Amino acid sequence: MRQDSPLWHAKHVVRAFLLLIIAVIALVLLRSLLVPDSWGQFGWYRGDNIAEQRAKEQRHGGNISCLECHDQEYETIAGAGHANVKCEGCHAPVALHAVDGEWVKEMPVRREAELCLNCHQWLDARPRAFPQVRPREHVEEQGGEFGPAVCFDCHDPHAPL
Amino acid sequence: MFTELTGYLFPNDVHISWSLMIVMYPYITGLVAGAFIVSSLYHVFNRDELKPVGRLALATSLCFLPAAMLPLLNHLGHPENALNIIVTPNFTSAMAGFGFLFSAYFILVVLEVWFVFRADIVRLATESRGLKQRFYSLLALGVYDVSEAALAIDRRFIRVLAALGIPMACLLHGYVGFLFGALKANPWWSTPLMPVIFLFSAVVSGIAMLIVLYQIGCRFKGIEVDREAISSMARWLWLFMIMSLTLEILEIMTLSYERAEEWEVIGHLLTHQLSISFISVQMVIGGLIPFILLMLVVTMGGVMHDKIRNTLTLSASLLLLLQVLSMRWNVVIGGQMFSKSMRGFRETYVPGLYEKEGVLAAVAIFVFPFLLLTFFEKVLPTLKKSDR
Repeated sequence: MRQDSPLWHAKHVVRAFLLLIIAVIALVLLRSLLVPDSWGQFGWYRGDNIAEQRAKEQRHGGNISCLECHDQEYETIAGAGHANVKCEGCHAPVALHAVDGEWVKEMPVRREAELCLNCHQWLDARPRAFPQVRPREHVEEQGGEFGPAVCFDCHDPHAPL
Repeated sequence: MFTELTGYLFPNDVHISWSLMIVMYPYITGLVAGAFIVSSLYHVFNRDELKPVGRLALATSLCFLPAAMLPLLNHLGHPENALNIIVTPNFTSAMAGFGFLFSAYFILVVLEVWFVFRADIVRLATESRGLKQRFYSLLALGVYDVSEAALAIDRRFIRVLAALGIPMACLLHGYVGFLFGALKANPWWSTPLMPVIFLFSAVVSGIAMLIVLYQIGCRFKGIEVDREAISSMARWLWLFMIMSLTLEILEIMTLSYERAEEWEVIGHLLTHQLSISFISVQMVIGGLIPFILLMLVVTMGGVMHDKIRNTLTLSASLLLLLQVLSMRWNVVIGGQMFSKSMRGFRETYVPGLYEKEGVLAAVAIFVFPFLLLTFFEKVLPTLKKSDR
């Protein structure tokens, strides 16, 4: 290339755009490595994901999984207002507590009022027959003081009033 | 802890899920777009009075760009999955669209910065020794040609890139507005005005940030603040803030005058839940006061002492930065404060200091681009003594 050619002075531009092209090619190559083989097999996701999810160990067992050791609580819940509430909903997945009938560790017991209020806080949109309260007012009416675990002072979650 | 809920709320509709991080995301993106538009005013529209801030504007845009995605990444439970919107893009996804715009804009800004600073890079490469010399030589891509012919080519490319950058910067930030404006389930967001309002407020925040950075930078470097540059930026800021505020007020006026069913909840929201952040901060402290301050600078600037003009402009800019932040807050958080029933209000949202998405995290993310800019200034100085 001759020195008086305009391209002679555009050497830096050529290099910059060459670098850009190399970067784009590198990104395209990197993308081909990053896209999983089973991508798009069934839809806009990794096909292998279905088998992976299926292979995961089951952590929840439903109320029936508690029956063997906690028959008393099972009967109490089944005959009271929380009959449709799952044990694991307020405690934790059974697999954290017992696996194949073997004790693993203590089952967590949650006593926060916030847990109860998820369902029982007064909301105009809820059916009137559903038990719900305006928490502070309700506790004050009973002569108590609102606190983080106040519901348990009067209510038994296994057989709520 | 627990908060009382008021009105007719749907039971699955009581939480505010988009946190302070989602407020920071449009705020930082807006600063990127706004700063770039100032640099284009100089490079494309030949506003020579903006020459002293042209390079700073571009560097600011570049340094704020990487920070724009940080709030979103911090908000995600699995930020590593964010890469998937680029690796396996779904073209019907609004967020994937932002990923492409953001990437294209990033390349454009890097290229423009390189062309603008190339002469300096070459000078520093020839003046320095050792590792420093290698670093600058690498930045110069090994070409040391700074002849008039080579610089003329640079200028041509800068012009083209800056011209292309204007619609891209507008799209980038308009798109953030579109992300909210296209959510038809929420009447506080769903308006075609939303992208336009976001765009104008972005330009306001960008110019305001540049005024602040320029004045602080000049003080640190012992450089005299250029009178024409500040006066011009004050004029542009005044113009854009008037347009931005007008659009914001017009939106409320339309909603109010139409008295459609959503006004019941939005009117209450603005005058009660958001009374401080909307009426006091967005409209009065961040709107009316800087409007008056800038009006003084624009109309009486000719007879004003430099120090008074600089102080008034700086104060107005700081207030406008607060105004745009409160506008983002009012849109993002305010839009989540009422239930889809339009008849009740959700829990109030107060970000914690040490939460993952709390105040400290937001401050850290916001400080990051300033650290980048300080580093940039050390590698490639943006502020020079004015030749006027």
